[in-house]
Amino acid sequence: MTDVVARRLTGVRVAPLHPVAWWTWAILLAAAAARITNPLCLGLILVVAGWVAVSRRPQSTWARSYGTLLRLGALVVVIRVVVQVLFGQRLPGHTLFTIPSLALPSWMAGVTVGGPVTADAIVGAACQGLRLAAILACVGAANALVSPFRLLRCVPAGLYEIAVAVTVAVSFTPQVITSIGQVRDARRLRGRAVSGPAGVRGIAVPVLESALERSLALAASMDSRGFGRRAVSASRQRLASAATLAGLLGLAVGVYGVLDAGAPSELGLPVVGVGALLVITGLVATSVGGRTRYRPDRWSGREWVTVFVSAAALAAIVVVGRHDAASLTMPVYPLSLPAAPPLALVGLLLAALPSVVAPPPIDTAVR
Amino acid sequence: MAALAAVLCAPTVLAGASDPAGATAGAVTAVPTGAVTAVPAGAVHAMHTGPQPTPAAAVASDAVVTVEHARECASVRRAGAVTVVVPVVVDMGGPSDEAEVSCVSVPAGSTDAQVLSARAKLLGLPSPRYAVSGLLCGIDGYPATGCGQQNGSHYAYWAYFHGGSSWTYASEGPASWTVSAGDVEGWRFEPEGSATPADPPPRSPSGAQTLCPASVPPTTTTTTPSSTAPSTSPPTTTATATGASGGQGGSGASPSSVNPSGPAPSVAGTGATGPTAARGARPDPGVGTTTSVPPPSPAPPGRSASPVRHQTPPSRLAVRRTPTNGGAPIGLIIAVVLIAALAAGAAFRARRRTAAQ
Repeated sequence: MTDVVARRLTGVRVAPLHPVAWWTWAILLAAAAARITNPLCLGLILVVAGWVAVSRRPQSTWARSYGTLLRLGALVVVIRVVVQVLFGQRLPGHTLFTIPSLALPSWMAGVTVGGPVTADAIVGAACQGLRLAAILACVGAANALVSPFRLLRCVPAGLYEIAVAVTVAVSFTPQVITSIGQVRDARRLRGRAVSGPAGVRGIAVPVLESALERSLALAASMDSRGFGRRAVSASRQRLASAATLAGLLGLAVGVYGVLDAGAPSELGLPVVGVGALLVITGLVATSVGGRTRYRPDRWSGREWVTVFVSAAALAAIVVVGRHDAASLTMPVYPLSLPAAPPLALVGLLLAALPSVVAPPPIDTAVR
Repeated sequence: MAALAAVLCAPTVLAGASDPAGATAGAVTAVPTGAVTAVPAGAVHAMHTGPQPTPAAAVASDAVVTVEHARECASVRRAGAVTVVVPVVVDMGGPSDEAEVSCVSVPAGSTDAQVLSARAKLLGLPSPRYAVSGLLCGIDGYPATGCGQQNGSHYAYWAYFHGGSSWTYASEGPASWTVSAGDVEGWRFEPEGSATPADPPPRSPSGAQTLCPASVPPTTTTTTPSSTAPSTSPPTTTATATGASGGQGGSGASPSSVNPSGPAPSVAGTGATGPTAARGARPDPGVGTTTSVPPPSPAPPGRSASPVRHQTPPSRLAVRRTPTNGGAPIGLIIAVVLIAALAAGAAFRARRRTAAQ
């Protein structure tokens, strides 16, 4: 790890923030974004994630992922608006223009092709797209702040199979971003097109190829270094794997039940509890072997603060949603200015605290 | 907007203590205090060409109801736009509530959602509130917040029905239903609805002919007051003028004086009751557009005429008139400035780090 070496050489003792803390921070912020269509709150989430990312990202190849995912988010907003203009609900509002419409058979009720396009519908669609863009920005910030390989080191041995799959999948996006830069540079040096249709055609294939190759190489190198090797019996191993898998499945279903207001209430917290219990059982069963970790990431007060502020942001959003759900949504029909719920805004602003609390990245710490 | 123009084209009823401008074209009919007029045929738009009557003036005795033909009508008539009159029944759903019927004139090809918006405009009430998904959340500002709130296995929502020989639970949203002649749009708020077709329909007749007699066959914008004036009111709208609560104003409950000879659409009103007075106190005294059809009940003796009435409990009116957008823009400005500052700071920091490398 280059940053670890650099730190030892320069004598800077401050360890970077724990990867799990960064990812928890990002996921909690994304969970808050998922409950909002108010453009003010979503905009605040976007800039908070961006501010923390540019303040504390290390000098690494995937540090650019925030900007890339921000552009992807902008594309999502555009696609959402275009879909709304073409096929959306035609509710009355401030008509901007009318596009030719198509009569659809009665069994396609609810779907329209063309018709009057209202400012209300466009604003509503843009806010929905913005919600997705904010979630993407949170993931982008986490990718920029911590390398997926460091995250992988923290995964307990019991989750070996899942960890390999998740890490390979998670590292795919930053790998693609890195590859794009490299392939572009190579093409530019050779005097080939890097933009336009010809550029995209020339870049896409080598990028996908190299990203796939890197992912496979990552999996192979993890395997060859004995990642996930366990010192427990095979039968116990199988039992623990089954318990872990079932537990994770329960967690996924339970979290859906908690987050989705329309799901039956018995699907929520009880299922989460059972899932968590199963996962813990699986982890405990496999951790008996007594593995050691090389230079483990430490969990200290900074990590607690980072997790706490993002949890506070999510809690603020949940509380505001309970008491005044309308203030978290964009009033579209009829169109009016969005509310500025103070509690939600302060809570989200709190999530920017890691930009101060987390240790500065190596390159700025040296200077 | 075409819809609005068509609405304006309809015979216009003006209410005010005195309005010389409006008195030119139509007949002037004096009705008792705060009486609600009903025009069964054609859309009626409450339009002010004169000074806005104050609430006090509207509640004052012997308000003058004037029927005028809007000047805007001429241009629309030349364009030859065909309109459809759609009865819209809105039932607030409470045990003491009654269905309100409005006859809304819209251009042919409009959707039921547009009809509902035109109705709100007509009555000067808050326009319908929808969720981003297209689900209708509120009519006339009720409920003020929430959208299909779940309560155990029940939902508090506006159920959507199509009229005809009987009420049918709609299988699609109002935005995808294109109105044609004879359509009836029905809404009933279900405080404890099941969100299935088993939910009760609006408490009113369902036939278009019954609700807005001259609306079938469709009228066009060339309708003149004389042609749309039926001499009698719908037979089903027999009602007693129940003063729900309140009771300010004279609760005379006397049948209104209808001017059968005039070119005006038939104007029927009951004596002022409490709720009616409350209605008269609205900023926009949109008289003559909304009538209330009580659940079918035997006509009380001695009242052969058909007083059509509007009844809205004062509490509901209070809910309706609550401004929904009361947020101070100061918070909005602070939030926008905050976001802009953070974004600028992040951009500056990113640039500086790139330059330093």
